[in-house]
Amino acid sequence: MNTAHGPTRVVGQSIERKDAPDKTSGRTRYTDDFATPGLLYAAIVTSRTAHGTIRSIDDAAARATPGVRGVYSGRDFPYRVGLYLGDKPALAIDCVRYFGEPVVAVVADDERTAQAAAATVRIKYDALPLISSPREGIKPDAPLIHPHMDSYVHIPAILPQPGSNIAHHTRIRKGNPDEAFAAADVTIEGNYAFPPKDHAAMEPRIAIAEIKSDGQVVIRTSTQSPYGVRAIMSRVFDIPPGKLTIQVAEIGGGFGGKAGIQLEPLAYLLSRELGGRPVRVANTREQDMVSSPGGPGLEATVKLAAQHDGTIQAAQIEFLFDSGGYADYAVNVSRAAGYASTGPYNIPNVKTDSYCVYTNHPFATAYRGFGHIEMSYAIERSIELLADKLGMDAVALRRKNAIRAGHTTPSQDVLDANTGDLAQCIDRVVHHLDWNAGQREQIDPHHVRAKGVSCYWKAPAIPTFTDAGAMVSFNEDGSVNLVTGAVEMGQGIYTGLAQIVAERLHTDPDRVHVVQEVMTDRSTHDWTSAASRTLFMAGRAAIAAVDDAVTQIKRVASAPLRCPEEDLEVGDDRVYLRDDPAQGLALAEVVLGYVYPNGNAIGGPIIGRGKYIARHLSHIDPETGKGRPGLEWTLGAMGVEVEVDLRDGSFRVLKGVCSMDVGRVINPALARGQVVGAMAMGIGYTTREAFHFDSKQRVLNGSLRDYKLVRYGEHPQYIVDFVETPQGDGPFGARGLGEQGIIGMPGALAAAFSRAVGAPLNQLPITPEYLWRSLQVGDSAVSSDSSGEDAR
Amino acid sequence: MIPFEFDFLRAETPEEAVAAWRTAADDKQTAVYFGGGTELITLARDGRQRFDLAIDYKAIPQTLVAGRSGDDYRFGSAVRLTELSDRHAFGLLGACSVGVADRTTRNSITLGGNICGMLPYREAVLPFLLLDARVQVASTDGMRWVELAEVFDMRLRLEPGELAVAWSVAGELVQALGPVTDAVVNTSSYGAVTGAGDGGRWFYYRRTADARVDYPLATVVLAQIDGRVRVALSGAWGYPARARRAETILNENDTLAAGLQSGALGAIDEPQLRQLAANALDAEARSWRSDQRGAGDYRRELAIQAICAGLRSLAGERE
Repeated sequence: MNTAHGPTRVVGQSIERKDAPDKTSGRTRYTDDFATPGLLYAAIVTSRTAHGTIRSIDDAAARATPGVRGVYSGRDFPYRVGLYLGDKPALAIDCVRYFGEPVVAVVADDERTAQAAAATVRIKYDALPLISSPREGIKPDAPLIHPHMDSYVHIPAILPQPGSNIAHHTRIRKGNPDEAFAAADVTIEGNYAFPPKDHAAMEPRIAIAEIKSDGQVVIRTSTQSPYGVRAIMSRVFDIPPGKLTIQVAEIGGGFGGKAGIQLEPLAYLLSRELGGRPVRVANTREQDMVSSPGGPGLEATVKLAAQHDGTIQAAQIEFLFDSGGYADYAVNVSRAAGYASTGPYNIPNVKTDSYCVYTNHPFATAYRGFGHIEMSYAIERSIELLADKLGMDAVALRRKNAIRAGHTTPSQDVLDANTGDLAQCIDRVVHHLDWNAGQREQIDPHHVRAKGVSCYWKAPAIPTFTDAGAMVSFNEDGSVNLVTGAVEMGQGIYTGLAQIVAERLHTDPDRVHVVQEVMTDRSTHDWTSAASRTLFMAGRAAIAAVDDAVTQIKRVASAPLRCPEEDLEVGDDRVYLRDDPAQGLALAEVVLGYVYPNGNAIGGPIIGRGKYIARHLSHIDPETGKGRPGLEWTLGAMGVEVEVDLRDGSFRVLKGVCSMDVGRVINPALARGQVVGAMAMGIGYTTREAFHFDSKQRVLNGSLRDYKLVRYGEHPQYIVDFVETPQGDGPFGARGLGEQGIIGMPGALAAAFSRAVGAPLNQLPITPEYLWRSLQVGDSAVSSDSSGEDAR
Repeated sequence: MIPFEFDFLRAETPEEAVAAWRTAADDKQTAVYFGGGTELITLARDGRQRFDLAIDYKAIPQTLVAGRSGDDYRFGSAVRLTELSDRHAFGLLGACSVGVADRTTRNSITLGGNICGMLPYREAVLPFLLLDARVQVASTDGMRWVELAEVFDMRLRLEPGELAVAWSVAGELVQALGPVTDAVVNTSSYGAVTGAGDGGRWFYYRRTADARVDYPLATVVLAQIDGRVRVALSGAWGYPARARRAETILNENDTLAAGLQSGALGAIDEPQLRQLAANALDAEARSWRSDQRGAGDYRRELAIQAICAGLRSLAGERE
């Protein structure tokens, strides 16, 4: 398609976000701001044990509380719901698998009554043996968290292994790694680990469900995936999709945590029990952190083989994803980590085994980066290890092996001409970081400054048939309305889409009105607002919708203008003769039908239809991983500079640099905002955001009192420098950038901190105490860290 | 939301407050004194605290005093931490107030609430422990002043229903710390804050696990009064305490005393100073708190470093 990669008027401008005035003045209405008359409130009782069978539930006091409409537990709702693997009941049935799992729902006339009644429910458990890590979970004699896995429904691409705790196993077999390792000059092996964590989106998850008297199910919910929710609910509960409407206002941050299906099934089931009355199921902050899914933990082993000159020959990789009590998105996260497992490096021989393993931790789902951030930490640490072993500059090693067009991915997919310029990204980071001026400097007796660099890549982990639709209609003044299925969650999608439409229609973005809400019965189908694919795909669909409308406009205008349609252009809110622009009509005269001076009318309302579906994607082979799972790969490099106090390990991050090949920047301010936000999140991911567990696998820091996020005042200087190698099939050459800014942060920060303290930091989070302990043992092995040594 | 009913009383006199508490207790009701509410509201919301009566003491005039009062400096329990740090306190009390939480929260947290709440850190009490403060206590028998040292062991140990109304420090001790308004506070990295009086008479040190807005791994305050060093800690042992045994070890060291006098600890090298600080802290024979935020040995190390930095600061050395 012609996406006009030439000069643009609107694309490339930092126009103000369409959602900014409401957000900055507190007027945006989120899901919980839509009051519904007759609303009932649910309060959820969660498990205080991480693994046990439910011996008894005493809910007599709750049932006797005035104002309580019903008390429900898992046996009332014998359904198992899952995105890929149907393993999870709405409320625990007979057994709880993690601390914080919803067990009982109390529904009452008001929130306070529901919560007060919920506080009276007493649940007794018989303890079951605990699995505290995926490594424990894959032991042959490990207790089974899902003994009835063989009865679960799952999609064909997911391969659960009944009789084990493995929910999915991705195999990548490329080239001949055994031979390459045997022939290599240098090999390294590293072990890496970090615990599960929370997304900590500002808006806790919420769903409000009701069933109208005609049977229509309406669910207003904070989801990234309205059509995904509809499809799964329709299948599991046997509701015809047309009888099920999912409504989404803007959501207060997603980060992957609101993709898939969340509280909607429980809200629906409770409403169904209560005559269809609207029921609100809303997480408290603490439930949102622990009861609903977070980001997966990981245990990884990476072996690399290289020549003396730094050419990497082979990789052997094992990822053990900590999925927690249920599989949710984590099965696909582990799959994405598998087919992206080498990072953006050209490695001809690869053997990767990526497992999604059940444990007794809070369950895991998509988290910004989707397998790539987890994978990237392990790979980037290994690259550092290899550079040390080779005595080679860590950046030079990356640049030497940087992947480019013509190379193949771990799934043996050839990178096409649309591939970004990673070497250019590396060079820009080197420049902004002043890498060559030195990587470690002692600035006074107690303080050292150190730099670290990483490279990253990401392709959307999406179904092969991932789609987007768009529809444009027009108003009396010739301005345009855009309807899509894209969800605004803070990323500024409606602004980016308005720019794309304005550019294509040659009009002012103020004259593009984006419908800022998704309703599955009147919006256009869209897979999910996730995977950094929304601007790409909804943008493509919007362009197609504009083109369709323009064709119709020309057809109508050709009659009064008495000329062939092909001679007409649309722009500046007019339709006119290309070779004589003075002859033309205002769009306002055409878009709702043209009326001749004598009153005759032709045309009618113009409605432009647009669509997009991912091209050339294929399933990956279960034995080798061969296939094309990634639509477009966004490549980039990051660099950080940190300052560490050698006495106690306390530190500051001074600078964060990101260079990313985004194809084309649609809105520079929005793009920078996305990347800076991702980098900030990456600092939290690396240095503090992690669940702590006690010996019974109960979460110790499941509240914001104890789970610390990065605040204003703690941020470094951020430098974002985009490279623009056009994505030929992207809207105006753009490719996805929403998640990518986080992916390289753990690797870059760990490299900088490791350089600062002179010891490899192979676990997260990297805290001052961890740095201090590493300093105690100096350059030799690190006591809290089992890896880093050559295991050739 | 707080999912239970309770009564709220804004008491206007100490007598009204303690009488209301007594009446509630006689009726087998749970009464709490309510300051800024930051702790009670959050704990009540997630079901870890229940009460039938909240007695707000912030309208009681005696709880609102702040500053010079005759020969003493007096601070009421209802004074907010931001008021202390912004204008009303002496430097060391201001520094200890700034260390707590974030500014928005400090706008609510009261002095009395910080010291008498359920959280164990109670950092605002450190200056009072260091300066031999007295606390004004209201009970059904009336008001009385008691020596803080006699009623403070990890926390303020009053009789049930008694209310800490105000805190008082002798004026000459405050003045011994230097100009009332002096304070130099440095935030050198995420979790590290140090402060010192301009006159070099007091020193403040606070470290957290990482985020600055967090409970302390170690908060350490030192002061030099009449040529003698005083030390108090919170966080490191979990609770605040005056380290009197540590003080004895430090003050019996003639080389240190000479160094403090001369303006530099030149005669004591770093390993010797570390050893002295370690010996002083170990003489306390207390166990170091170990939890998700930090292990005991790390907290001990931070406390040792704090003592060393504090002694250098008191001697007049600048980093």
